Amino acid sequence: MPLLRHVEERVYQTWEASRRRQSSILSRFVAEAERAGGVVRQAVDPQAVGFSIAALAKAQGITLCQATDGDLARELNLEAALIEAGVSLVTGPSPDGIGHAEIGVTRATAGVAETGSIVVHLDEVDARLLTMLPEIHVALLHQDTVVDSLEEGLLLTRYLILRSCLQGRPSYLSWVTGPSRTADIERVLTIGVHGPRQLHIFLLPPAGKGIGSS
Amino acid sequence: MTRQEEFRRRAAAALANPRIRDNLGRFGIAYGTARRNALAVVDYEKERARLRRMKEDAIERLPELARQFVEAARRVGVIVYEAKNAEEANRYIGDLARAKGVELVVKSKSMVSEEIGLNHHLERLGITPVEADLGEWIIQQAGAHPSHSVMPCIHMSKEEVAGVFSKALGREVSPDVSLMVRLAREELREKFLSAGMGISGANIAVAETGSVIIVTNEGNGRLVTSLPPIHVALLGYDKIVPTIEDAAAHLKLLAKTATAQHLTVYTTFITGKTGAAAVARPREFRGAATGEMHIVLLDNGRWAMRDDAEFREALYCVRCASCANVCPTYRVVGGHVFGHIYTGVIGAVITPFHHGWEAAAVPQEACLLCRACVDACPAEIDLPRMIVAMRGRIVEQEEQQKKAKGIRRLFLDAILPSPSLFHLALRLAAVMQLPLTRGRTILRELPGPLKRLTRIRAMPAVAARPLRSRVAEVLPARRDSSRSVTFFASCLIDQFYPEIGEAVIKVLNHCGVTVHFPKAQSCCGLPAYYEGHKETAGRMAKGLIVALEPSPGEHVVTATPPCGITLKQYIPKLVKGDPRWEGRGQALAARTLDFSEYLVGVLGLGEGTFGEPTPHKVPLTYHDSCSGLRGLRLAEPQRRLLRMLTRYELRELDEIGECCGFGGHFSMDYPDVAGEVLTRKLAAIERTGAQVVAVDSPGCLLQIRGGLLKRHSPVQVRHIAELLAEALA
Ligand code: SF4
Ligand code: SF4
Repeated sequence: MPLLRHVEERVYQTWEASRRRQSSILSRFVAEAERAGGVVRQAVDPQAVGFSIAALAKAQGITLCQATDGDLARELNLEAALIEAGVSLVTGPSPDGIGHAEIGVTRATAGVAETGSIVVHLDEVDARLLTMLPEIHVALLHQDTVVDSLEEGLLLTRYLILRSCLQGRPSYLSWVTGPSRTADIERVLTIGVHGPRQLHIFLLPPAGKGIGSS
Repeated sequence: MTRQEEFRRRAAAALANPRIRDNLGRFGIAYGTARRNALAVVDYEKERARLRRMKEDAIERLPELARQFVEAARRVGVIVYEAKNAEEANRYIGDLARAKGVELVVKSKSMVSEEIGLNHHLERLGITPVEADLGEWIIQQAGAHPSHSVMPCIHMSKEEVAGVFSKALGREVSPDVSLMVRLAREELREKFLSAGMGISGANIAVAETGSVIIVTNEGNGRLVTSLPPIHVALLGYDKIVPTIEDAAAHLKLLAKTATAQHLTVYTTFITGKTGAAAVARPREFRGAATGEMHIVLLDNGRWAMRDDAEFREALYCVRCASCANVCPTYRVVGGHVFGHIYTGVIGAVITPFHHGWEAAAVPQEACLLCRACVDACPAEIDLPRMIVAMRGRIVEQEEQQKKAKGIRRLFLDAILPSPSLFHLALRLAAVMQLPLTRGRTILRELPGPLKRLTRIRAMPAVAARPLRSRVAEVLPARRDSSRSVTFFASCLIDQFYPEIGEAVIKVLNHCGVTVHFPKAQSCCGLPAYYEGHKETAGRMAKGLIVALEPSPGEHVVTATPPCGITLKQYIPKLVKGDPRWEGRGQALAARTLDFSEYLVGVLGLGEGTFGEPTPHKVPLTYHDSCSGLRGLRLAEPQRRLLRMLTRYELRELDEIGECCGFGGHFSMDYPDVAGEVLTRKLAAIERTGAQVVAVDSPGCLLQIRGGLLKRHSPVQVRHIAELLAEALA
């Protein structure tokens, strides 16, 4: 697969280059994501993120939270934090949660600083719904997966999709830039139509694995 | 009914609803600012050139890319159907829904589905389609059509929308926007979860991977393509680009130009069907638990558009609606008048290919050729050029069907192109108007069938003595100089405003330039050209070449920018391909300069002062003519000359570049629409507090001065040449 290898090589070079300018890329990302209406927090210790999510839930009177998988919940110490706050947790794409959970917790594959977008690549439909149906979407993003430009983001997107496509595997990937919004009635900007009303992004420490590695 | 009468009828209906122009007018102003801010972070000209190149290349390679797209989509399990026309696409989708036992369909915004009338077709089969985009849902519940491609119900007030909600939900809903949005969320959530099929459009399709890219702000696109077990993406061939990376310029500019965002909230890349949601595996659905994706690739005139050199560039459109947002007449009449199913000027231009020439003939009348949309289009599409091309074909068809109206044809095809008949007619008019003018140069009201001309503005009387009778063929410079020009006066200056012509000559003579005024000159043919009478325009082009060629001026100078465009751009085009004329047309174009451009560019004026120093200055504003600003790309020379005038202080308008609504025949044919455009212009002038409005074009002078006179305003309107000449006195 020379084409895929060629694209992969360019993705790797982008990642290398981005790492050298990481702090400026990150501050651009934070500014743009917030401008789009997202809330971004640095999470030096992933284990503390669970408590932040629990506080969020409690403050808004939320009783059910769902995370895409148990690994993620453990990484964030989510269960213990939520129990303490009296919030129930469902892990995995269980129908008990989907459609009912008011907070969906997922990973983001990458970030794009120029537009303040997170790249959500979840081929498993029920996991993906956690980014769409709940009132609040919480996304975990490793700092070193943020690229600078829209062009670099598209290069990465191309790579991720091409990799699946060449194997005949369907895929579904979204760039999410802030919470759902509309201005259809008298151009009045209103947040939260069909998708989440709030988007919270937690920036985790570098994973060191490169972008798009799975 | 002629198309002009039908357009008047439709426009009158729209004008009777002030909501349309209030909403669109307010939006237009807010949009301008927001768009400028959003675009400030990119190099707009560079990005749109990139988008243009990408689309040109993709459409050029479309046969190959379409094949590649179909293969790639099939590789990930998508069932692809290529539909030649609306009927085939409808049949395929309807049959599929029926075969799968689908009763309820949710749709994210798809203009192509409007194009083919899919909802109607599904309803006829007993299947319920529900629009999930909020604006589209409101329109659907109201039983109406979108009036704007990005904001479908921009023409409605929140009270009207609340009425639609109340009816749809069967209870009283108050006109509170956030409440209505919440109710729509609940109502539609239910539909998403129970629908058997989701239908989406696509903003972009990717040949390399078979992906469709959908952008939405609300998030309906992701739900429509994730929840129901069957996803049908309906799209035209024109959406296909080579790779995901090629979407960069498109995505970068679409949100900025359409909604002044840096990026739309959800940009989703869908490559095949990734399973069916457990939560929504609906009761009535008998299909596979893994789900299915179908792509319906639609032709419906697109390949014909690609093969048509005059209209191919319409396929580069990214549907941002900028061309509607900046359009002075769209902002008055809205998309139900300016547009067929696709709205705005791009809608008018593609209508013949999707819905036939019959449907296209009336909406295109709304264009007054101000070119604002060309600068606003992120794909650099020359929409007014295509409007003129459309008019050409419509006129041809009307000729064949003998539908053209006698007087209009007589004027454009027989009188205008014959200098002797044309000037005779004008002299007759000069005599016949005497009982009305009684010596005045302004007519506030015209009687009978001419009344329309003075509905919105006073009209100038035909000059008792045209410029051609007032001045000699050679008008020597005040001092010795080798410089000389040939003055092309234009009909407006020659026959209505000879004093502007005299001012031009006076200024040029004063600057040491000898002016030649060949009396053989007549109309440049612009009215015929703009109205699609190409053959007549071609004849007139040659007539003018013959008239001006022997005149010895180094340059041909005009003080009427629309005619300047004719000489510089249209005449070479009209005689192109004719070996006896092509070179002569180009030579004339190369010789032609606008008055201000000549003074500043050739004579080096623009520094220093003109006139005696005065202690207190009169506030003056400058109105750019569309032809000067966008046609000839001249904005600086005029301003430099105005700043030289010691008597005046230049105050800029807050909406630079907005058309005054003259548009040649447009304001004669459609005074009510033109009048609304004029009203906006006059309000902007008033906001500057200027006592004098300077213009570079006699057409704008006619419109603005006439409008001010009609309103008994003391504000004066003067051609730049007159102001300069006055300073010399
Ligand atoms: S040229 Fe002017 S009037 Fe015509 S469509 Fe474009 S913006 Fe509207
Ligand atoms: S023609 Fe240009 S401005 Fe109009 S919608 Fe298409 S891309 Fe936008």
